[in-house]
Amino acid sequence: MLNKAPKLKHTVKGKMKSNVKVGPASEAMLELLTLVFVNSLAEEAKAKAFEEKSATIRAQHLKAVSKKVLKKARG
Amino acid sequence: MDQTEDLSARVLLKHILTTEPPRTPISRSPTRRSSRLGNKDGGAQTPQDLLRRSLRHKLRESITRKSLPPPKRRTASVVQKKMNTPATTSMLFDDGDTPRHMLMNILRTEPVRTPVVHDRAASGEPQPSSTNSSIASKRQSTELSGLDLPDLTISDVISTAKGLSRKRPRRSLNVTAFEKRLRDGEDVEGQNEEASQDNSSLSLSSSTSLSLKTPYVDVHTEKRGLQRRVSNRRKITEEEFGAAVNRRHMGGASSFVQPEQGPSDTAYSEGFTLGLSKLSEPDITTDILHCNTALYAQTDAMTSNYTIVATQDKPTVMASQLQRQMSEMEQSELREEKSMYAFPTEEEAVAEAQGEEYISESQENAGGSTTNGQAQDVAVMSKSKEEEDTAASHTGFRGDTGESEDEENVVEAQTGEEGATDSQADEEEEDDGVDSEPEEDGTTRSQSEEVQPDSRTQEEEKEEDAVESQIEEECAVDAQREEEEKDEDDAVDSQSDEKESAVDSLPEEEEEEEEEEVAEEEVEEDGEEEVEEDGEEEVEEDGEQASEQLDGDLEHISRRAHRSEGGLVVPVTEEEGDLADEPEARLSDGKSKAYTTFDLQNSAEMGSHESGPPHAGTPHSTEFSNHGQRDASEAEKENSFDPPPVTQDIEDNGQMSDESPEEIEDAPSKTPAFVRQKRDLLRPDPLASPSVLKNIQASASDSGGLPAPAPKQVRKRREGPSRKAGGLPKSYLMNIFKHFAKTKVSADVYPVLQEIMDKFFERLADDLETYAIHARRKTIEVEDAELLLRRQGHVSDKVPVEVLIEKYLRMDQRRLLIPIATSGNVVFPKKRR
Repeated sequence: MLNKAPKLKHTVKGKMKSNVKVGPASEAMLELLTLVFVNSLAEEAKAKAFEEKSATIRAQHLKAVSKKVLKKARG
Repeated sequence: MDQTEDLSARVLLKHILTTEPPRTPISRSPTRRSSRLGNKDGGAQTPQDLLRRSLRHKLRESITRKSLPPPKRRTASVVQKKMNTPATTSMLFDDGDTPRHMLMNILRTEPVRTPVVHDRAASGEPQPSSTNSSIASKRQSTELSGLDLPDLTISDVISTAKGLSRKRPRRSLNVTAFEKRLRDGEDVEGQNEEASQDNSSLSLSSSTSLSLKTPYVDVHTEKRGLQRRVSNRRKITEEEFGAAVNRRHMGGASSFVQPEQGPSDTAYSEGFTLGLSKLSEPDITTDILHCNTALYAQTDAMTSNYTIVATQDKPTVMASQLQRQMSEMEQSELREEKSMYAFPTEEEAVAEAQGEEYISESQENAGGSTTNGQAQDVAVMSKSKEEEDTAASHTGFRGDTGESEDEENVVEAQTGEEGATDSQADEEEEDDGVDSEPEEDGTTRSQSEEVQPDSRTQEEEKEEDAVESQIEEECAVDAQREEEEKDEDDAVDSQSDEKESAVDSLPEEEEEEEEEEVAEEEVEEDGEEEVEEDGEEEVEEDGEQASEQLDGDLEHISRRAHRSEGGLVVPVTEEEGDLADEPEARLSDGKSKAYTTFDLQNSAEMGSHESGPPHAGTPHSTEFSNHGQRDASEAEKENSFDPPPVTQDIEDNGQMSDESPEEIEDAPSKTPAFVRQKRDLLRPDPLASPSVLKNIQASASDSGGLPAPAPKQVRKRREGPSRKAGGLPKSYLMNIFKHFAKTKVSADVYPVLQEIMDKFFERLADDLETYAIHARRKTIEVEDAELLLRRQGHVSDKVPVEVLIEKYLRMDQRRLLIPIATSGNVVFPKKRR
């Protein structure tokens, strides 16, 4: 968050199919979107890890929640 | 009694003086007095004499008592008792033990007689005592008048005591005045009056008990009293002082008790006894203090010793490290981050364990590396460094147990460049493991990095830097080799041909690097390390190619470093003990998993390449590397942690690992050559490393500062565009995730996270595009993103977007989105609407 999210715009644009531009303000919004998403991801993963009585989030926790969170962020 | 309470210590003391408690067992005075009194009684002693003596005694006591305020103060009650005693001791007065008694006797018998018959001196002495006597006389008089007025007496005493205590001169004055009057032959009444006057005079300052006659007298008396007092006092003080001192020597408080007698009631005695004890204790305490001091000194010494020891330990370590640093410094100027740190720590540990051998070697290498272009030197340096690094890394991974083994391994490695061969074999295997998932590599590297940082220090980093430089060289070589040969068979065949494996490893690395954009800084660092390690091995093998390969992609190098790390992990795991058990056990740990995954990735990507180069780096690890590779493969198989492709890679690695041993075995014989090659590689490494880092960080295809030849630059450029297609930088991603998670996050989440983000971005872009197109726009706008948030449920009518903006975004971003009103009726940003 405090960092600049390097190459975010570049990444997103790379994913875009059609050639659309991204305004500067939208870049900020993109960052916001990603942050919100990662936040929810992390939260879910944390809950899952706690569920398994582990203080550390592991990849398996993350994987288990990822699908759910991705679906939620479908819009 | 209030008066008594209000009285100060002085008053109390005076009371004590006046009320000589003849009952104090300890006090000698009573005996003395008694004896004296007895004598006095026996003799035709005038009551005045008795009084005087008593007064003198009292004065002495008072003096001594005053010298001891605390005990005296305590005995307020005692004083009171003593105060009371006079009443009770009225009977004793007849005995004449106390001055009171004497006075009483005087009053009774010959009140008319003037006590002041004797010399001035005598009078002088008793002057202060006379005051007391006067007081006593007063008391006696009062007592005589009525024993039923102890209070009065006491009060009088108190008042008188106050007067006395407060102003000695007044005493003297009173005495003098009294004496004068006595001499004048005034009646006892007059004396009494005088006494009363004295008292009054005394009490002038204190309570007002009696009428006052004599301001005049006071003046005279004061002056005279002062004068005489001084002299008298001095005498008394001297005597009493000496007495007091002697008594003190005799028995602490008891001495005080004796002179004071009066106050030395049981309470006093007790107090004094206590004091005695205390006094005695001081000696003990002093001794104790002394002892303590000694102890303290000892403890300090101990602590100091400890500190010294601690410091000693450090210096020894530091020394070794410094040496290495020196060598490394020459070789590589890079100071890398955590990954590097991790290596150094490991290296340090190993180096320390290994001893000066490596240091010397490194030094030699360093010396050699200073001269660029000395391929051999570089090789040697690289090798030595590799050894150290690998050993360090191994030890770091394993802990202390592996050090000894590492040492052995290192020795072996040195002796034979099996590692080089093994590395080649590994590289070949890696080539086989085409399925080199960038994620895996990234994860492993990240993991390895994460693992390493803990144990590593800067020194190791330095070593690693050197290693990396070597690896870079190797990578360059490998890249070249990769271009040349990309067949697994080649790897197998190249067992004898170390160069081929190096080449294969390089191209593989390139491929992997291209695929992986994630492996950036961190990866690069690790990769560099690995690359160095690999490079070292390869350097050993191919001194000539190393120079070329050095220019190779830094990314390759970085990734190689990662891989090499994994390779290091493997041998480390193996070295300790059971091949299967230990790696498995280690794998069980998260870290071990990281390692295994790392190994897996390494094996997957580079197969034995990674393990090979690191093994080569650690000559000792060559043999182990074989095992390690096997274990790695086994571990990989066992750990279905990684995605299927990894497992596939594992299988491939397993095959490759099987092959690697063969190569590794052949390596030892070629170590000297490798060492030389490494040296050569190392020379250019310092030049290349910074550029490598830059490239890595920038992930730019253009290798700016690299002295890399055209092919290397081309490679980097190739990787650049392909890389950028990837996801976010790993560091950033992990940082964000950890921040939001607020709990520990294991490093192995990274590949999964990368995957998820990938999908997310995909959908994100899709939705935004759709929205924009729906709005017949060609640019994604804020409203599109806002709509998306709304649809996701993060924003609603009740929760405006601004809330989220405020929550997550930085100020510069917020300023873009939220209008800020500033002075002058200016609002940022300008709302188009």
